[in-house]
Amino acid sequence: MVGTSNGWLNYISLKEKDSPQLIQKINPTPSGKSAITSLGFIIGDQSLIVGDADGNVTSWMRVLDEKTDYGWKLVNPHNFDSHNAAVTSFAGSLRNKSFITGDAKGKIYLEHLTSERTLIELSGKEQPVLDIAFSPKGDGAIVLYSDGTIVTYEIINPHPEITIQTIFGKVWYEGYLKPEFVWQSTGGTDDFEPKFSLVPLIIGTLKGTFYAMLFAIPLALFGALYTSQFSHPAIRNYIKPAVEVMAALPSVVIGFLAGLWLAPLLERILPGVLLMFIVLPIIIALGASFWTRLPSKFKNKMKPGYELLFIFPLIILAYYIAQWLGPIFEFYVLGGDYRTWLMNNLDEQYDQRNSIVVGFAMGFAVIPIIFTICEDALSSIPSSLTSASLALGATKWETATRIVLPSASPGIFSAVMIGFGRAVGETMIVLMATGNTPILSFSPFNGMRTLSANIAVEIPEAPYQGTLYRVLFLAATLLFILTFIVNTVAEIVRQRLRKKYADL
Amino acid sequence: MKEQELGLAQQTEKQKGTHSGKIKIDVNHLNFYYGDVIALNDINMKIPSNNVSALIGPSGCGKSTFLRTLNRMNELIDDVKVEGEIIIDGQDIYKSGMDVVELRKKIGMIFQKSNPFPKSVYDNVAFGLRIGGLGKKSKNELDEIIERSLKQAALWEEVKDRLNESAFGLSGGQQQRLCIARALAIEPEILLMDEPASALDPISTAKIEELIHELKKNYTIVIVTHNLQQAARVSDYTAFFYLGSLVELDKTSKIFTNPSNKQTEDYITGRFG
Amino acid sequence: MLRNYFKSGEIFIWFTGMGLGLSLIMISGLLLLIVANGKDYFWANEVVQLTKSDGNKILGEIVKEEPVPKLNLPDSLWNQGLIRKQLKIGNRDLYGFDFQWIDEREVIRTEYPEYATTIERMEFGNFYGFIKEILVDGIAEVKGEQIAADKIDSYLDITSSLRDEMKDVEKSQIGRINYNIENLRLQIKKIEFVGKNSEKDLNKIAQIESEIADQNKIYETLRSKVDSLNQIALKYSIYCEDVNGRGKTIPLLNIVRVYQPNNMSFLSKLGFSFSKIREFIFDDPRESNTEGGIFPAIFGTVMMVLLMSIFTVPFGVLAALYLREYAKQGPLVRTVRIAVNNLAGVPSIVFGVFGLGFFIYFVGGTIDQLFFPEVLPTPTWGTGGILWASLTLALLTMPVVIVATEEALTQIPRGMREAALALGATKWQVVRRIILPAATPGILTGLILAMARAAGEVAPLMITGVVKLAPSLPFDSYFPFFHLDRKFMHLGFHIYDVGFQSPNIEAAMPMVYTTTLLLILIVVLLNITAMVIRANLRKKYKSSTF
Repeated sequence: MVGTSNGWLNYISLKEKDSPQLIQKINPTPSGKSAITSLGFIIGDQSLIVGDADGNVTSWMRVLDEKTDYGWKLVNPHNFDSHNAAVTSFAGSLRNKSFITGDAKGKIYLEHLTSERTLIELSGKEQPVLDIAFSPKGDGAIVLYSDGTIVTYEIINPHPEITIQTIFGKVWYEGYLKPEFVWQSTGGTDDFEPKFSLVPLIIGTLKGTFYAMLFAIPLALFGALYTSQFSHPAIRNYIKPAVEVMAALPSVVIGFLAGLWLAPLLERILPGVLLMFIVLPIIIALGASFWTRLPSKFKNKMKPGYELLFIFPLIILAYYIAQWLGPIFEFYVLGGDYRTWLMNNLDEQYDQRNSIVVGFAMGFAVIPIIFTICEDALSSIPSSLTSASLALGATKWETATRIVLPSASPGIFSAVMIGFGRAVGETMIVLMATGNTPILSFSPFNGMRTLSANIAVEIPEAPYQGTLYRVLFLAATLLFILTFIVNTVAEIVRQRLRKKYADL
Repeated sequence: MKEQELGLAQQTEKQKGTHSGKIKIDVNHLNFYYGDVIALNDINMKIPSNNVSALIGPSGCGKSTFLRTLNRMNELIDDVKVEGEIIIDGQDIYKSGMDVVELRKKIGMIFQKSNPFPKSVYDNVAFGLRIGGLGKKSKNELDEIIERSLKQAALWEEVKDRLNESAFGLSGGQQQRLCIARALAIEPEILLMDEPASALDPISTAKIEELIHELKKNYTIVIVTHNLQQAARVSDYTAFFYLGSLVELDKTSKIFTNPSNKQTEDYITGRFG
Repeated sequence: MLRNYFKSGEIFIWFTGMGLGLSLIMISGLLLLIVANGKDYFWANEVVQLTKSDGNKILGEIVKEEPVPKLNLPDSLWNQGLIRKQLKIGNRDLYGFDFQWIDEREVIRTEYPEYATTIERMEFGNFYGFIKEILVDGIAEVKGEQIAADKIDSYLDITSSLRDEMKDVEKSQIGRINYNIENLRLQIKKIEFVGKNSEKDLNKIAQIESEIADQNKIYETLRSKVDSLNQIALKYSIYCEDVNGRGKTIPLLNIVRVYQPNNMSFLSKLGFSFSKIREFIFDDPRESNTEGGIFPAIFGTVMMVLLMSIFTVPFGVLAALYLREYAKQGPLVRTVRIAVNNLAGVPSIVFGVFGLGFFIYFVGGTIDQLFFPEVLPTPTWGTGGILWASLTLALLTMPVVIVATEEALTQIPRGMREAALALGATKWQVVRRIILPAATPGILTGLILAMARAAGEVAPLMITGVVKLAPSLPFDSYFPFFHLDRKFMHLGFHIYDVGFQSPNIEAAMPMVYTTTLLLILIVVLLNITAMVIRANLRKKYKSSTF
């Protein structure tokens, strides 16, 4: 790299030592004409800091570019606060991506590459700065002024890389083609640029929660409605303990089964499982219509509220039909293998541990929570209301949908909220049932990493009070605030509902 | 409204002459509030010793509230206020410095719903003695007191063989008499009864009423009742409460045959309530 | 007709029933799955010998059967219902892998050889093959499969008693000496840290160092005793061949158990299962946790849960008593109650982070600076340990206890309090003599639920002191007996660790399923107990009202 006084930066390859080759000639200064007065690499030798005679400071790095002959080109990812005088000197920290620039008027800036932050702005002496050096630990600097004086500064600079932008915004990291959201807290080497964007983790959290709720809400809500309104009390007495047992299952157990049993199984029979969502309702509908058409002689032998006993075999039947149809469907419609089909038609890579697995597993974990609260809300609707409706000639179903559901809707809302809160913070299931890759993807066939799993994975390795430790604490705080708000709203709604029907 | 106040004023004048014997409880200008709502309005009443006084009136008239002011049980509810004075044995029980615990030991209370503790029959009766520090009495003495109390409550014969069984195993009427025995064990001077027989069948009710008759020899009894016949049967004096005010207080025979107030007459003859 | 059909809503009722049915099927399916897989670990599974069309033979246990994946098949065969089997073939030291898929099309013969032997070893997993000779000092004393099968047990008895002796010397005697030496070293460090370098100090250090030397001498003699025992034990070995005739000599000392499952009666298999169960519950893990027992994990879980109960119950009960009996019911108490309910919904990992930041780094770090400055920067209390994990879980389960206790308190009829007060009881007497006894079952329910929750919780423990392999239990015979600063093992974490962090996941699967089975048994039993207590409590107060 060579800078010139008329404002050009030449990118020269020395691959062959004897014949230097000019790769690219660019104009790194904003004005396009100012002389380059200072040049230097940040630790890691990837980013070049350019200071010019007008006081502008910019960083440049090379990225892959297949259009050029050489395969690389220079880009300008970061611009820093301008000195208003020629930049005379530069020093990079040996510890992190901070650097110091000094100018002709004696001002010294301590800046950080990733965060583009000017950490400190010192107007030391009113004299041009000749040279600057960092102490090896990065906790001090020596500045040489033009009058020959040397001043040492102590630098206390624990977390230079953190700004709102680096945590929540897109950042152009070294070696990347464009600004992106990336979480990568540690690398193999000392000159690694930590990437602390929480966005992929937040998206991952919401994605996992979304699929879990998609699975859990209908099942839990239907189940609660059936239990509280239609089932026979004798059956109800068995349902509730069963659901309590379901709630008691440790999440590590669910996670383990999801990761090591369900994920490989699902990979094998996914088309069949997806078909189940179509087959099962059809089978149940057929079962129900068959039932209503039965001569009343048979029907009367069954007390109402025992439909469940017929539903079990129907579900199992539906499963086998779907499993039988699955491969056929896959073979004739998807042309052999669904993974190849996904790749070719939707450009989606199928991960074995993906969002669908998490949706099932985490859904399984939140079903009992939503179910219990919903059931409570639905049963708390006084029987005087339902009796009144039935007495007016409404069917059971009409009573349930027109009277019970609307009255209990605040309770159902709060059940969903509490379930949401639980799913957001669930750790073990996500840890075990996803690939834990912190990539930003909305595809149901990819894995993810959530805030909670991220904390569990990284905090044991994070040095006390270090930047990573604090960022993880921030993640925990975010989780806490989120669940706290959700739960408070749910709890207040629920208490209101309880008060409303307490007197009836 | 005015008429009523006038009536009351006359009432207080009259009352003084009607009582005979020693005055046990003397209530002067008692006002009682739940929050901002007034529940008892300027009650003046003298309750004679060793007599049964019945409080009657329609639901919500304040008779139970009044009963509960007598042993300061109303304080268990938040946000209540008391004005005026209640003098028992010459002492204003609402005076600051009054020991509520001591007061309640002197005044036994029987509740509408029997409320035995989830303990044995014996332990139920012994409870008051034990918390009062009398539990350290010798076992013999304790046994004696318990036997005596149960006898007083006319329960001894029925439970003497099952003293160590749970009190929940007793019938409703037995439970209520157990509660009476429990109250008697600490030898109070006054017994407050809040509709003690309302949840009982007629036979149990009769037993309780009989018991009240026996007990008035030694105790001053104040009883709240819904049942006018019961009031007529057991009490010496009857007070009629209406809308938080004491409308009329007189000898029971007088109230039931010749009430001086129109409202009392309407109530007794069943025109309202 | 159709309209009527929809109007009656029968079909929708069936749909709601479907939701419930699916949930119930999932829960029962999950439990069945775990039971079915977990029990295999304890059963003497038959060893099958498959001969392939190319003449090669395979010996092992069948682990799994499934349809052949489509990608391995030509299109013409895709729906023929072809099955492949996964065999555990063991002999990792010979083959380099111990599981193998085999397509049923390749198999030409299936047999169950009478003397096919499963040898459980201390390392390299199982050996499947045939015992040909039993060797003592390199000389074959017993020859032939049949005789070897009969005699092997008596030889194993010799080595296992030798092994017990060595273990005793190593664990208790050498352990005691190591403990003494460690203590003496610490004393020196302390003296040096206080650092006056006076004559007296130096003398003392010299004295302690001579003590250390004495201890080292004892150590040497014990060590040589162990070595000589080891020499004796190593004389015994067996010579085995795998199914294709590859030979292998295995020292008996490395063998845990030898059995011939194809030759066992149902009763002897049952006996085998009992011995496996005993090993599973009472022994230490082997082979990076994938074999052997899980005693340290059971012990760690139980101790952690008990410690947690000690913290959570008094505080939880007091808090509930205050909220329900003493505090004035108003907006403030309502807020506190909402906050308590909220606490129950806060993700457990957040509690873990709090435990790490507050208990470990703040409290533990402070203790270290005040009381153990001589060993810093090595932390004593400023690192994860069973105490901190228990405290963290105590916070986590506090809402459970509070809510359960409050529920029990609200169920106590008001009349009971009034009756006691009317008898002249003070507030405290009412609480002490009436309310607490009556609420005990409720409190117990809360405690049991809290214990169940704590037993199954893993995420917060991962960052507050659980480890995959703890060198020593948090309770032993060295003063002060309870070592609450030690790290510990935990059933739930064991599942995570063995299932997801071990290098040979296939081999670890039975262990994971079995541990899961145990954990679920514990948690479900605790929950059922709580349910029963609660049901009885409700019934009791229902009957008492009248």
